[in-house]
This record gives sequence, structure tokens and C-alpha cells, in this order.
Amino acid sequence: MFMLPALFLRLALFLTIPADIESIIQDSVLFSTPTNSYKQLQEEFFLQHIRHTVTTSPLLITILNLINNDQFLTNLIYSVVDISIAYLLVSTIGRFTKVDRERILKLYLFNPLVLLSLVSKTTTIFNNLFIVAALNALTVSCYCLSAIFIATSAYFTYYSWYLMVPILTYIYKETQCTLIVIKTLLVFAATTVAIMLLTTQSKEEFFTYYRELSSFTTITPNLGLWWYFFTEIFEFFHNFFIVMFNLYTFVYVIPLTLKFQGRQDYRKGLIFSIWVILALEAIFKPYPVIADHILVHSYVPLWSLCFHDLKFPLLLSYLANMVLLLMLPTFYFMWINLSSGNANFFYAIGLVFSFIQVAVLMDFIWAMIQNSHRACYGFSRKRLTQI
Amino acid sequence: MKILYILLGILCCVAASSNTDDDQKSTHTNNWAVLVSSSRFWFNYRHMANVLSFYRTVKRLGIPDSQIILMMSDDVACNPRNAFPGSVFNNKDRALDLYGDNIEVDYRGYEVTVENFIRLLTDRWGPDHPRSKRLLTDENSNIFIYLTGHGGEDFLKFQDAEEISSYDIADAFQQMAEKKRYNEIFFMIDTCQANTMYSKFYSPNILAVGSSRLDESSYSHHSDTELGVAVIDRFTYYNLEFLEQIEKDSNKTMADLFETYTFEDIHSHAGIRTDLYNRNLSKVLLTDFFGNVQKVEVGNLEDDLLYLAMTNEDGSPKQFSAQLSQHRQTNVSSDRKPRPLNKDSSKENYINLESTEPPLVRKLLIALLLVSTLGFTYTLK
Amino acid sequence: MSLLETLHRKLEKHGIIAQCIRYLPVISFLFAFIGAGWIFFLPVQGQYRDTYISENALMPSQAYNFYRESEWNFVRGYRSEIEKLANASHEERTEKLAEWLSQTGFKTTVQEGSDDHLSNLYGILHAPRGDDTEAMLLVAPWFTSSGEFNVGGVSLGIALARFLQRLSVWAKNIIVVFPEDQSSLRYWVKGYHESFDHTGGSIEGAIVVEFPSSLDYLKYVEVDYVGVNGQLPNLDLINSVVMIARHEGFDTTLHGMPINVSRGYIYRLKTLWRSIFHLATAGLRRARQNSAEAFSGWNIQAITIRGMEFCNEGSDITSFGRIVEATFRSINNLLEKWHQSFFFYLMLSPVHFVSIATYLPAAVLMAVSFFLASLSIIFNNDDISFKNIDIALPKVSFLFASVLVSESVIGISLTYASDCELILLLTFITGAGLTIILPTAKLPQIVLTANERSILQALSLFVVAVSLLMVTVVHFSLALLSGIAMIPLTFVRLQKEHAKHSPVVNNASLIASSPFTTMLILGLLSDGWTSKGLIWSPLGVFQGLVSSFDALNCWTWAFVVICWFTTWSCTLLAANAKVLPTEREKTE
Repeated sequence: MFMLPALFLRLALFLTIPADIESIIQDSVLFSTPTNSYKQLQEEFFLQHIRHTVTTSPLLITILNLINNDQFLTNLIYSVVDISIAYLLVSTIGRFTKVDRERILKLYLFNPLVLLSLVSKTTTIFNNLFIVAALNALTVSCYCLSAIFIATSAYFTYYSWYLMVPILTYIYKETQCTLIVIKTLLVFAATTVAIMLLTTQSKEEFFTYYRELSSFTTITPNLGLWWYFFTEIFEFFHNFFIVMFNLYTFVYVIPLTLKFQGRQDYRKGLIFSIWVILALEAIFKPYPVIADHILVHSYVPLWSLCFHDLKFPLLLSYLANMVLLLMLPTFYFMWINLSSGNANFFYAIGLVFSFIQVAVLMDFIWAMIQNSHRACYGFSRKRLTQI
Repeated sequence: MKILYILLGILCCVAASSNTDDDQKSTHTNNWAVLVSSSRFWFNYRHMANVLSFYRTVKRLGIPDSQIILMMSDDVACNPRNAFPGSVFNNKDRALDLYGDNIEVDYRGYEVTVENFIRLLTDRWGPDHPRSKRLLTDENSNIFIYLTGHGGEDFLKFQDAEEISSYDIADAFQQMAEKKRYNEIFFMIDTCQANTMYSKFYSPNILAVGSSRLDESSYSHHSDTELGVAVIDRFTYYNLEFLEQIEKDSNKTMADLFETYTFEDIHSHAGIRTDLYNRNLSKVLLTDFFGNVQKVEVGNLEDDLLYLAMTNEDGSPKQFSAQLSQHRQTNVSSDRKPRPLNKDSSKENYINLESTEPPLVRKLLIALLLVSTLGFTYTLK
Repeated sequence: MSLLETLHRKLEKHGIIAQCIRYLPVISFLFAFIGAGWIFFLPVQGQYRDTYISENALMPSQAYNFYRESEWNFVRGYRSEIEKLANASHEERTEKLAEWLSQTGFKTTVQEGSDDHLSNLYGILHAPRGDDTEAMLLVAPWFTSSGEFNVGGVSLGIALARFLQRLSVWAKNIIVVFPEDQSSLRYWVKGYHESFDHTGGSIEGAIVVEFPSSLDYLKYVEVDYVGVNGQLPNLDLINSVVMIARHEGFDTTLHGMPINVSRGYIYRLKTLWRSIFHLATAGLRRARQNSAEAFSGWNIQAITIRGMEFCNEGSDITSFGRIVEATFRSINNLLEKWHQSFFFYLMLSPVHFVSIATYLPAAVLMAVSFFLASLSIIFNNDDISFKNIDIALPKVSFLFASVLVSESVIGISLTYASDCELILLLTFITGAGLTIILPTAKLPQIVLTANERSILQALSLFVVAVSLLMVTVVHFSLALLSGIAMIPLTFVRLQKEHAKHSPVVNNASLIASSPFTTMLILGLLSDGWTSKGLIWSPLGVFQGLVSSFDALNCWTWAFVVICWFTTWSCTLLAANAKVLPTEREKTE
């Protein structure tokens, strides 16, 4: 019921926002990076016949070709995508908890950060849509659909294929049938190949994009943790960093899946591990933006049952996040525009931001572990300190 | 263990006692100098002046330009800030233009890197590296190595971009020793905490001096007020002051030079390391390093005969039949190398041999080899 | 992580967290108190450092300076001509000077004037052996920052131009500019970076000379370096100039401090407070603008040297000129950039400074104090439970946003009217009047629940905390001073736990923390805001705030509107709105 006003709000926002403010948001390090910025997308749309090396997903160029880069249609697509995310989000969350759907919807649809992120028109929003859709499909047992969505999402960001590990475990737990698991896996592979064949003209085009994503070839400062290692530390180590960071994002996937699949309520457990993997990706990927964190934090209401086990009240973590998100552009401005600060200031704040995200995540994991412990051994008044 | 120590002691005694007076004479047949100013930029004028002063001195005492490797950024003489364009002076009286005539800088600008310095010492270069930029020394060469720049404990900065550590130099010297690339080395360094730079040496026959101890700075001597920069460092200044009195036939020794080092002059404690060096300093002539000796070496007759037999008059290898060539090639590489007329060209000769071999023959040979191997394995079955 | 874990457990075990929450208001005030007190701690021996040249390339005063007595006659000659021009029009003066400047070998150009600005004369000496990409700037305005005729400065400028082109050591171009005053200079700098055809590359350093006297001798030199928006020139530039001046036999002072006093703790503290005050109010003084302000925003290291106490004996004007020559040679020696880490400092005397790590805690503590006050409202309050924060949030955010938008609209429209004194006067009087009346009035039109009221107040304080934190790193002095001025906002207590809290305290706190009160105090504390004298000074502060937003791209006004006015108004709304009784109260 909020959908329509929210849609109008988004369209109106696109129409009324002054061009210079829009451009500031689109250029901001918080919202866009070379791999997902709207400007990059536009540039590649116009240069697609000249050069075949791309740094945005080829799929989007295909979509842009379809609608002929029409401004209104683009805006409409972005708005509809954003609203679909909200809808899918709420239906997934609603399936697991009894929280007020309207509140969650309002929190997403009228969240200033979501709106700003939308105005930046980064391509991350499509990735978010596919992930949310995949999770929703999973919870309603449309396994093949889920695999298709994950394949599409992986096509955008590469890292999403990690999610196939918990998803396949989920399917196996649910059906106890290996055949369905293999079928889903095949669908995943087939979709990947199909999109690849449909949207790219050459093999190089496809691989440049993934090389860009996994080896951080366009070194620019951003929200994440990678760039400092590549700009400030000896070039000699670059290959080492690339290997370490890529390993680091993957190294948690299997342990997390194993840890939470053993819960009695394995559905929730595995969705939780998917959520944690998403959060870790958002923190440790080479080109993170706010939209990645928005996706992660939108799922927080799912875990309302562990809220009272959290050590740091959520309010405090969100206040801290707010402060840091305001400090980040300030330090960036000081470094780039005033040239009185330097990279260290900006990276330090980015580091603190990531630290807070990790702290919140750890808090949730511990709360979840306590929760499953209680589910097994019954409730005790004593607060758990270790298991 | 104890026995081992005793044995070691005896060995040392023997080694010490064998230092007879006869050994005190240097046996070198040629002299080389490696002069490096590792810094850059206008305000490091004095380092450029330091190194150019030594360049002038060794040249004056007879080392030819072809045996001097000069490494410096060379951005001072033609700097727009230089009030005397095209000149570099090491004294405010500006009596002597160090840049005046015939400066041959071998490595300049961004070529002054740690990598190039180490490659230079160990002579590891690509095949097309010019000969004039190589340190073509042998086991009869005395090398004078002079470094100046900004440094610290166990490191010397190269052009604000990288550092060389004392371990790097020590290891490079060891490689030189193993490859018989020197007879003796005289290592001199003028930088802050310079003495730490030679503390890690472990190769024989190296005499080292530095301008200052650990935690001590090295200071500049004086500034030229019109240039607005310091023109020379203290340690270098007083070394030069002494060396200026030396002529080619001088009998002054290292001990005489080292006696002049005082804290009052240099404002830091100059260090001398002699434990790797087994000649008596009062017997070591300064000209053993700063001057040039042209001794004629009588080569091994047998080797040379072999060499002559295998080459034409113009030095190119003789064309034998393919098999013979192949045979000799393996012989050459496994056996003692024939001594070429020019020592370092052995490698080039080797390359020549290879390139003159007809490619078709080689292919045939390989094919033959393959067939025979196959046949051999077949028969084994 | 495990360390945090252990700490958290320890704290919980002893119930310290609960204790802390109960005493949050006290802790908050304590933080603010320590924050403000921190400044008094900085001039203590051991907290500050002696200045030093951190960039090796500069080598100040290492070269012999040639600008000596033989050049004095040229200064005298130009000066006697310029004295005749004292009453001439700007065009006549410019024309005459342009003639002389082109004779010296500088490529001379006149920047066309516009409706608001007079034309500016400038000349560029392209260094023959340089690479023509960087430049040094010498500025001799016709009128000094305090409005005097800069006769010595202009003569010295033209004589120096004539002298400098004869030296053969320049690696950077030299530009000389003769603007009418500070605002023309800003117009010139803007033009140089945006529209000029004839430029000399990026400006690495700028020196403004002020010598408003026809006499030949001077006692000491004052150095001015403050830019708008908290921007300061690289500390190495100040150090070089101070060092060179001392080498030439001059004593130097900063911020108008007297010269012949003992330079102990009190002296350092005074200089420190003045530097904080001048930084925080940079750009606002209409009557006494600082020339270095003209360069803010273009990343130019600029400094003003001002001759003080002119007399008939002592050091002469050529020694003063040698400061310029030697500083130029130092800047000329610079090879890459100015040393990165020396843009954040506070001066305690010409040769002492505190760096950012030492002084930053003061403003951070101030911001934390607001943050704690905001938390205190949320935690020590029966009206708020965590569950219904987001129920109240839409209405509160809407209220806050509408206050923000309406005040921003007023703020922006005022900047367009900054030349019309009548409008400003009326606004100022209305504003000041409302400041006194509103806190005591009731606003029955605005109806809030107790929950919403508390959240509105907490939000305001939180916004103050965040804004202060953001401004702190960019503009420390503004954050500190406005933080101190806003502290009374944290004394406003509206919750029923504080029923005993006197409403008089609330009202007084609101009046005290109003921006208008601060403007009034600022105006009355010191003259120089406007040329009309002390009585008009408060209006001058207001006018400076409003006009500097456009004229100097100074953000102080934006900060005052967004952070200060808005939060103050919202606290006011929270204090005076009609409050609906809670469910519990109804049942009781």
C-alpha cells in the first residue's frame, strides 16, 4: 500500500533533483565505484562499438540497448527495481518472523540512505534485486529460480556464487534428494553460460570485467579495505594481496554453512549464514558501496529474536554508522579537494566503519549461537559466555 | 667442539704468521673506481660535489675514464636554480669547476637505483648492456668504492624512492669475492650513521671507512652563499684535502690518511674497519686504490694455444663440421674455458659459436637423438 | 575483539554501565568542561613544540640576499611618484604602474574590472630556465587590510619586481599583482584560475606585502596567515618567513600581539586564543579582511607580511624587501610539494606551535559531550522505549526536516540580500527579539507526545554532535568556539523526571545558546566587524556571516544555519510544544 507513493516519490526525486547535486551523489565514493557507477555505464553504452573492454556488467549494456537509453524508462526501471527489492524483502522476512511488515516496508522505502543510493543509479541495485529475489525464491521452494537469480547476480558481482554453497545445502536439507541439488547446480551453470553467450560479443569482454573485479585493476579509494594496500604499500606485494583478499572473502563460506546447518531450525540457520556471507562480502569486496551495506542491514529484522542477546544495542551501532558515514565524505573532501588531509585519514575512518560492521556481525553470530544453544538445551537465566 | 676451536686457533695463527713482509705488497694489476651519489634534487648539491671531487681525484691520479663508473642524478649543473649554469663547485671560492671538462656519467637520473648498483657490482646484465657501463674487473683488480647520500642505520637512500641495506652490499661483495671479481676493495662512505653500512661485510680483503658512527650525523662543511646550498661534506672535504697533496708516484699510505681523521675536523667519529683486510695499513699505498698501475700479466700459454687453435686469426671461431662443433661446444662448457684474448668476451664467443651453427643441422641432430632414444627404449622392452 | 569482550564483561559485572548511564548528564558536562579547558593546557611547556623546517629543500636564508642599499634609491624614487598618486583614481594609478611594470621586463596585463570589482594590474616574469609550470606570487595591494594607503608596499612591490627579474636563479615564474584591496585580490585569484589567457602556472606560494607608510624604517613585522574555512598555509611557509625575518634582524608577531612583552605562558595562551578566534571568524570581518583569505579554496600557500611601527631608525625597507627575496628563493628551491602533514596547527608564538593530534581532543570532547547529552535523554527517560523509537521517528524527522528546510531557505535568501543593510538590520532585530521572547512563550499549535518531544530534543543534540565532529577536522576553531557557545543547549531538561528543574534554567539556557546571543557578544567583545564602530558591531558580525558566504565561499554561515539555528529551533520547539499526556498518565 506504500508501494505507489514510494514509486511516485522516486520518480519525482529523479525529476526534481538538481543536476549538480545528482552529479555529486553519483561521483561520491560512498555510492559509486568504477565498476558500478552510472557514468561508467553510460560511457560504455556509448562506446560499446568502439572498445570491447568493459568494467560494468555486459548484461546492463544489453538492457540499455533494449530501451535505447531512454532517461524516463531508466528512471522507471531503477524505481521499480528498488520497490521490488522492498517487496521481496518484506515477503521473505514476513515468512520467518512476526514483525510488523508495514514498519519494515516504511523503513526501506523512505530511508534517506536508500533514496540517495537510488539517485546515484549504481548498478549494485540490480545485484541486490537478484539476491533478494533468490532468497525469496529459496524460501518458497522455487530452487531453480533461485539458482537462476544467483547466477545472474554472480554475473554482476562475481562474489555471489559463494551463496550457492549454503543454498545447495539448504535445498539438500529440505528435500533430502541429491538429484535436485545437482539439478539446481546445473541450472546455475546453464544460466551463467546462457547469459554469457547472450550478452557478450567476445570472450575478452567477459573476462576483463571479472579480472577487474577480482584483481582490483582500477585502483581507486572507496569504502572498502583493499585500495590502501594497493596505493600505499609496495607494488611488489600486489599479487599477494590479491590472492589473500580473494581467499579471505571465500574462506568463511564453508565453515559458516557447516556451523548453522546443524540447527534444529536449519532454514533459519542457513538463511543466517547466507546473510553473514553477504555481510562479509560487503565488507571485504574490492569495490563496496553503501548499497551493499543497505542490502545487509535490510535483513536485520529477520533476526529480531536475537536482539535481546546483542551486547551492543542496535541503536548505538546505527548511530555510530551514521556518524562514520558523514565523516567519510568529510575526510575524502579534505584529502582530494582541500589537499590538506591525506589518504591515511580517509582510510582510518573507512577502517573504523568496517570494524563496526564486523563488530555488529560478530555480535549477531554470537547471539544466534546462543539462540540455537537455548533451542537445544532449554532456557537458562544464566547468561552464556562460552559454549 | 673444543678440538675444533683449537684447530681453528692454529689455523688462524698459521694464517697470521704467513703474513710475511712480502705479502704486504699489493698484487693487483688494474684499478677501478665506483663513485655513487645516491641522492637527487637541488638541495643535495653537496653530494654531487662530493662525488665529482672524487671523480676528479682518481682521474688525476691516473685511473682512466673507462675504469671509473660514475653514478649520480646529475640534476645540479643545469638546474635552473644554479646561479652558475653548467658548473659544479666544491668550495665557496669557486676556484675549481668540477663539471668543467670531460665528465663521463655512466648512470644518471633515474638510472641511479639499488638494482643497477647491485647489478653493477655483481656484473649481472643483459647481453646488450654497453661495456662502458660495466664493472669489468677480475681477481687482480683493486676497486675503490665511494658512496654518498642520505642514510641511516644500516641503509642508504637512493633518490627518495628506495633504500639499499648494509646486508645488500655485504652480500654483493661476497658474490664478487666468489666470482673472483676483485683483489682488494677500498670502501668509503659519507652519509649519516655511515659506519653501520660496512658493519655487515664478511668477505675478505675489504678495507672500509665511514664518516660517522651509529646515531651520529655527518655534516656539511660549508655553504656557498650565492648558490644558497652547502657545497661539500666534512668527511669528504678532509679526505680531499689530504689527497690533493698526493701525486701519482706518492709513497703516502692509508695509515697516513687515516691519521688525519679527527673529530674536530669532521664533527663525527670516522670509522675504519680493517679486520677483513690483512695487509698492514702503513704499507698500503694510497695509489693502490686511487692511482692506476699498469702491470702486464703473462697469461697461461697452454690455454691460449688451445684458444688460438680453435679460432681464426680475427678471433671468430673456426667452422668445423657440425658434429665436431657440437662436440667441442659441450667440451668447452664442461671443461676449462679457453682463455680468450679479452677476458670477459668468453661469453660472447660462446654465443657466437651457437649462432653460427646452421639451424637445420641442429634440428636433424635433435631428431636423430629422439629416434635413437625411442629405438633404445624399444629394444629395452 | 576478545579484549573488547573482556572489557564489556568486566564493566557489566561491576554495574558500571548502569551507573554511567545514570550520571550521563554530569559526564556530558564534564566532557565539555575538559574540552574547553584543554585549550588552557596547550600553552604549558611540553605540550607545544618549537617550529622547525620540515621540508629540506626550502633552506631559508641559506643564500646571500642581494636586495641591499643600492636598490633603496629605486624604492625611494617609485615612492615619491606614488605619493603623488595618493588621490588619483584607480585607473590613473593602474596606468602609471602598468607603464613602470612593463619597463621592468614583466609581461604586463590588466584584468578587466566588473560591476563589483575594479581592474587589477599584474605582470608575469617567465623564468627563462624554468619549465614554466609553477609560479610565486607577490601581492602589493593599493590599500592594506585596515584600509590605509599602502604607499611603501606598492613602491617596494614595483622595485622588487625590477630587482627580481635581474636574478638568474628562478626555476619558477614570478607574478606580481597590484590589486585595489582584498576583495579585488579575490576577484583576481578567481580570474587567474578560471578565465585568464595569460597565466604562469600553478601558484606555489604567495606573499602579500603591506607597508602603509612613507617612512624608510620599521621596528618589527607582523605575519598574518589565516584563511577562511579553517584553511591554513603550510606551516613551513610561516616558519621560513619567521626565520628569514629574524635573520634580517626583525622581530615577528602574530595576531596583533605586542612586541616587547615577555613571552611566557600568558603570552602563548593569548596568542592561542586569538588565533582560534581569528580562525573561527575568518572572512567575517568586513572592515579588516585578511589578504590570505583571498587565496582560500585554491590550495595556495599565502601569507601577509606587514611592516609595523614605522620610524626613522633601525632596520630599513630594503631589509623588509629581503624577506620577500629570501622567501622567494626558498619557495623556488621547493621541488615537489609542500610537506603534506603541516596543514593542521595552531600557533602559540611565531616559533611555537601545537599540532593537530595535541589540540584535536578539545573539539572532539566537545562533540562527545553533545553526543552523551543526546544519549542521556534517550536512556534516562521513562517516555522512551527502544521499541517505539521508530514510531516517533517519522514525525520527528519531518518536523526537523521542515525546520531545516525553512531556515535554509531564509539563510540562502539572506545571502542575496547581504548588500542591503536595512533588510539585515530588520532581520537581526527580529531574530534577536525572537531569541528573547520565544523561549518563554508557549507554542500550542505544535502538539507532540512526550516520546516525540524527547526524541526531537535528542535528535537535535545528536545533529549538533555530528556536525561538530565533521567540522572539527576541517575547521577546528569554529567547532570549538561554536561548541562552547552551544553548551547551554545540553542544560535544557524537559522530561518529567526533571520536574524540579526550574523552567527559568531552561529559558536561560535557550537564550544563552542562541546564535544571536553569540553574535551580540562577539560584536561587543571586539571592534573591527564593520567600519561603523562598536555599537554597530553585532550587526557587522551578522552582515559578515551572511556576505562571506558568497564573497569568500565561506561556510560559516551554512554551518550556523544548518547546525546551530536548526538545532536551537528544534530544541525550542521541543521545550515549548504542547505535550499530550502519555497513556500511563491518563490512567493515573
